This record gives sequence, C-alpha cells and structure tokens, in this order.
Amino acid sequence: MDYFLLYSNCVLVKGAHRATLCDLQKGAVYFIPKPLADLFLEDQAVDLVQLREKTEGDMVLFLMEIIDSLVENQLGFYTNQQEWKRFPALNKEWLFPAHISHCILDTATGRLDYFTESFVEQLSKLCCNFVQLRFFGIPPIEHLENILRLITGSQIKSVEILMPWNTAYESGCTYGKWINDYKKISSLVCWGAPSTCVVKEGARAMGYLLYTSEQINAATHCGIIDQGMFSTNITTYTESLNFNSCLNRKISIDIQGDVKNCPSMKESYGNIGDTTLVEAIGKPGFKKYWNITKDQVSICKDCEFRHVCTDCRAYLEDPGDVYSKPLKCGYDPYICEWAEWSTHPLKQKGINFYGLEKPAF
Amino acid sequence: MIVIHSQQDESTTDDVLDWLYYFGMEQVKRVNGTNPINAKALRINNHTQHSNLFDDAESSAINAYWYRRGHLACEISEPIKLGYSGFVTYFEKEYDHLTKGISQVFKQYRNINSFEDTGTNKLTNLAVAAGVDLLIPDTLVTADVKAIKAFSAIYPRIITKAIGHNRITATIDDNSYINIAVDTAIFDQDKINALPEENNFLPAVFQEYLEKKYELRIFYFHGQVYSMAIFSQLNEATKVDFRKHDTETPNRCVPYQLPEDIEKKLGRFMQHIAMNSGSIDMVVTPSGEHVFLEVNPVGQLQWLSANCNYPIEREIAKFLLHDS
Amino acid sequence: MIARSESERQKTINEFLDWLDAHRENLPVNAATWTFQYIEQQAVPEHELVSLGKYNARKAASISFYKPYSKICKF
Ligand code: SF4
Ligand code: SF4
Repeated sequence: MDYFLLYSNCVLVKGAHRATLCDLQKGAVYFIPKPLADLFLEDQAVDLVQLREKTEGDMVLFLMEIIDSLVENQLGFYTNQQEWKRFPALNKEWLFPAHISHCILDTATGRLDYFTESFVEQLSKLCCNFVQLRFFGIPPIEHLENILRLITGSQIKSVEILMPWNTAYESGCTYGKWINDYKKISSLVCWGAPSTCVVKEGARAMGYLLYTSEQINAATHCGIIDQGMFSTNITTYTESLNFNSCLNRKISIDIQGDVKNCPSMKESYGNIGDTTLVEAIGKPGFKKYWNITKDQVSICKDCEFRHVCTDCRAYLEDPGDVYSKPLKCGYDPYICEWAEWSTHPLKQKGINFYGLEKPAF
Repeated sequence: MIVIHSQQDESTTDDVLDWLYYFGMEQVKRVNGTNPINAKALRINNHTQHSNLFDDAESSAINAYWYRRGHLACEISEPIKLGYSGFVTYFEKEYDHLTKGISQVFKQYRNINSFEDTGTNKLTNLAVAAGVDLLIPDTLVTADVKAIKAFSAIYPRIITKAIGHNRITATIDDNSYINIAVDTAIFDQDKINALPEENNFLPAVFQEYLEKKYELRIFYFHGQVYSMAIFSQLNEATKVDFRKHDTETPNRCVPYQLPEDIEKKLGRFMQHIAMNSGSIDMVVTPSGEHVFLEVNPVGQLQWLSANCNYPIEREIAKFLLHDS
Repeated sequence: MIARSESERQKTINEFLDWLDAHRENLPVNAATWTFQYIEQQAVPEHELVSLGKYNARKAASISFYKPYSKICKF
C-alpha cells in the first residue's frame, strides 16, 4: 500500500493558498493544505514513499495524519500502483442534454402575458425544462395560476418563483396553497416579508416556501457570490470545467420583454413581442459568455472554490474586462478570507459603474 | 418511430428521452406499465407485418425498440380465474407462449433488451459464466439439510439467497400486504443447526461467502462496458448485499476499469445468453479476483451514470437513433 | 383510507408470523433469513402525481435544477 488514491468523484481543486477536496457524490467540500495538495500526482494520488522521502520530519507526521483522516472520511483509500490503474479519473464531459438548460423570466408588473402554450412549446423545442420566474411586482392570483397550470401539463420539470410578499395573499393562505397544488414548484420565495424564515420545508429540493425580509425588487440584486449558493455535484463541476458556470445555456427575458442571456446584461437580442427564442439565440453574440470558464477569469482561476462556485459576468470588478472577477464576490483566495464586497475600496469603481451605490429600492 | 416499453415513473427512460429530444427526435412512443395482449394483433406472413402491437405505433414504422421495464400480460377475467383451476393453468401457459412470441418479434427491430430477458435464469447464467471461464461462487441449490451442512463445513461462512425472485407479496386484504424480502443473507451456524433433518422444505440457493474488496456494477450494452466499483465494505449495513441502501452514508461509487480479459469474457457471456444489454454484478476479492454473481436485464442505471459521469443515456439514445 | 391502529397492525403481523412458524418446514429452507415489512397501500393518488408532458411520465416527485438559476437572494 504505497499510494493514497482519491475516489474519483472526490476532486482536488488547487487554489493559490490551499486546495479544496470536492466530494461530488455526497456534496461536501473539505480543505487541503497546500503542501499536501502539491504532493498529488495527476491530482489523484499521493506516492507515500515519496512523501516520506521528500518531506521534513514533523511534516511527514502532519501530512500522514491528514491522509488518515481522509481515509476515515471515505474520501480516498490506500492502494498500490497496480490497483490505481483500475480507477480512472472522472469523465470530464458535461452531460446535460439541453440547447437551453434554464430560463429566467423577469417582470416588474406582476404579469408575464407572453407565457402561453406556444411559449412553453418554444421552451420544449430548446429542451428547456427548468424555469425561474422573478416577480418584482405582485402577480394577480388568476394570472399566476394560469401560468402554473400551463407548467403542470408541460415537459417543464421544475419552476422556482420569486415574488413580493403581501398581506392579502398571506391571510388568504395563497402561498401555501400554491406549494400544495403545484408540485413542480421547487421553491417559492416571497421577498419583503416581515421576517426571514423557512415556512414550509420541502423534500429533495422540491416544494419549499421561503420568506425573506430583503427587498428584491430589481434584477440589479442578482450576481451575489456566496458560499450558501455553491453547488457541489458532477454536473456543476463538469460544466465549470467546460463552460461558464452561470451563463451557459441560459436564456432570459427582462422586464422590458427583451430577450437576453441574463436579465442584467445590456445586450438584447430582440423583444419577445416580435422575436422567437430560437431567433434570439441564433443572433451573433448571444452565446459570447457561454465559454468563459472559471479557469480564464482573473483571481477566480487561483481560487479553490472555482468549480463549486457560481459566476457572474453581468457585474464585474473591472467593468471593462470580461475576464474580470465577479464584483459581488468578497473572497480573497490569496489570504483565504471573506470580506463584505460592497464596502471594499477596490470594488468602488464597479459599484459606481453599475449604479449600485444606493440601495436599489 | 422509436418504441420504448417502460413504466410511468421510470426515470432512466426520462433521461434517455432528454437525449432523444436533444438530438431532435420527436417520433417516440413510450408505452407504460402492464400491457394487456388481449387486444393486440400479431400477424405473421411472408412480408413480416406485425400489426397493432403497440397501439397506434404502426409496427411497420418502428425503427427501434427498447424494452426497459413493465409487463406484457394476458388478462384473464375473474370468473374464469375462480372457475376450474385447470383452465387458468392452461391459459397461463398458452398466453405465455404468445407473450414470448411477441417479444421475439421485437427482436427483429434494432432493439435493446426484450420482455423475454426478464425470464433470464440466474442458475443457468452461473453455469454459462463458468463456461466462459469467469469465476463464480461455489453454489448449492437444495432443500436437503444434510447437504447444506456438508457444504457449510467447507467454507468459513456461507450465504443464502432466492433462486430467482427476491420478493414475496403476502396479501392481507385489498389495501395492505406484507412485503417479504428474500435478500442475500449470511446463513450462520445457528440457523443451520436449527434446521430439522426430517422435513419437507423447499429448495434455496447457498453460496460460499466471498470476502470483498469492493463490488462491481457493470452495465453491458451492445458491446460497450461501463463499470463502477462500490465500496460496500465501508458500511456495515451493506456488507452482504449492497442493494440494501444505507441512505445515511451512501456507499462510495466510482468508475472502474475492468481488466481486459474479464471484459472479453463478459462479452462472450452476454452473447451466450443472447442478452444485448444488462447490469452485471461482480465481486473483487481481497486477492484481486473478479467473481461473477448475476446479470439483471432491467437494472438501475442512474446510479451508475450519476456517480461515474458515464454517458450511458446518451449512448442508448444514439443507438436507438441508429447513430452508433 | 383509514390507517389501521397500531394494535390491529401488530395483530396482523403476529398472525402472519404464527402462520409462518406453523408452516416453517414446508417453506424454503432459508426462510429464517427473510425480512418483513407491513405495508398499507398509500399509493399517491393519480392527481397528486407530477406529469411531464411529452415524456409521458407520471411520478411521485419531480426534480429540481442542479444549481441556482440566478443569484438574487441568499438562503
Ligand atoms: S450573470 Fe450575474 S446577474 Fe446575470 S444571472 Fe448570472 S449571476 Fe445573475
Ligand atoms: S474568487 Fe470568488 S467568485 Fe471567484 S471562484 Fe472564488 S469565490 Fe467564486
């Protein structure tokens, strides 16, 4: 047993100062100190003989203890070179059969009148089965229920809904009723609520009712980078290796009805009033962010979270550089610390550029 | 037209459909559940027109067929069932013949599995596996207590399992039943000693207990082989039978590269039993030997593709599209 | 459907086990390793199932997207 081998769905991601070990099967992230990370061969195995030879006295013990604990936590196992051959690295392909994987629809008025049967058919043709509705104004009950009924009978697998909280719907038990009646709702988030809480716990990421006291009344609130939103799974990991973690296969319609890659972007590819989704996607430039991977983004490329993190190309630290780090990320991978982004001196340029100084409400 | 025989809640079928739609194929007919053959018409002549086998899917327009799950069955009415028992026995045999015939017909299309594969025999499969030089566990099928005792004396431990079907539904009334799981279990000395030698038992399967480094789940599909190692030894709950899922600490499941000779033997095995796709269970012993256990024509696939990031569903779709 | 009371359930199970014991020697020789589960059918009513349009699928629960759609609020 002269090798330590990681299980191939536990992947090592090296950062500037430390590494993460991302357990893609069980969805957990562990930290690995740099000296140990540097010892990995092909990011998969540690030659234990070499470790003992090349490392100084105390360090050997320290590193061996970490490796022992990795074995104990079932992240890897002791093996020999012979057996290592039987455990190939994970296939790096992104296996997600969709021309458009998800769709964001924004409305300021509470109405999405273009959401008709023929619109759902357009999504269907693009293999788009996941939809997010972001209401910045209160949707009339009848209107939203029409939309939900369309979704119920369609190919759409799940829908996430964001909408303003209001007293009348609360006292009418409307939110709870929607969650119960429409099983395709993964989560219904009501913003501007009296408190932030989980009102109804769902199961396996479906059927959640959540209240937040935050005022989320415009697309400018988007682009948050937060550990709570990291997703540790094979689909996210392989997508981040090959494509942009946020914008790949995304389509959106902003509050004006403009078809965009993301609602916060400037570039519009036509209005939903007179353009089909397929036409918009076919226009030059629509996919221009799809291939920007985390490994190409400055600072992120040195970050140990880059394959579980989300990304944002709409709000950048340096608005003039498409490869710039997301503006709303407060993490510094060189010192491994999180800070508040909105007050950071280096962020002020970006904040001014996007007009995010004042609270947006 | 691609015809898929499945069940309404079978998610691998959904995943393959994702790929078919992605490749632009909309001519798909998914038939779910138990399909009574009463209303089907099978016509056999020199032009091989098999009319009306799956509702409106004109059989002449079928380009590919995938049997995933579900049944072809003949519905025999209650009064007949409650009548003279000889009738039912006769009808069951008679329509089993027709069911097999229909399954055979589908094998003439480009196909993945057929309903007939569900009748594959675990005992003869062991013999076939041994015949192509795959290692198999020493196996005894008997009800003879003396034979079991003699068998158990050769090995430190033996296990037992069902001969072919591992679930009994003991009906209590219309809306309740007792589910009996006949899973792989250690058959220890206490249990053996408790067996009276004079008896009228029914037979069961006994096998030497194999120490495992890990277990393998292998998906064989028209010559392609996808293997996964399951580190079931890490969890007490799954040591004997990894299908007993431990949801708290799921077993570690990772891609595995079979030795070339084993892969070849498995290919020969599948050819011998004439099954073009199936999920094979194997065990790797501490000394590195690969031991064959069984093949299941309708095994779980998501488990494999999701943990190993294998493009299995895509490849199935491509096969159905004549693109591989 | 009204679920059975605990005692009624236990009685059913006991009756079943007694029956097994009485016929032990006429059952498969490994019957001592069987495991049991008493199940009251609570099949999800048809209208509670999630249907997937052209997929012709009906399932107890649908699946969620694998990552956040957009990053507009924290939870
Ligand atoms: S690019 Fe930024 S603003 Fe646009 S959806 Fe992604 S996170 Fe939100
Ligand atoms: S630097 Fe920030 S945005 Fe970039 S990968 Fe790390 S956490 Fe994510």
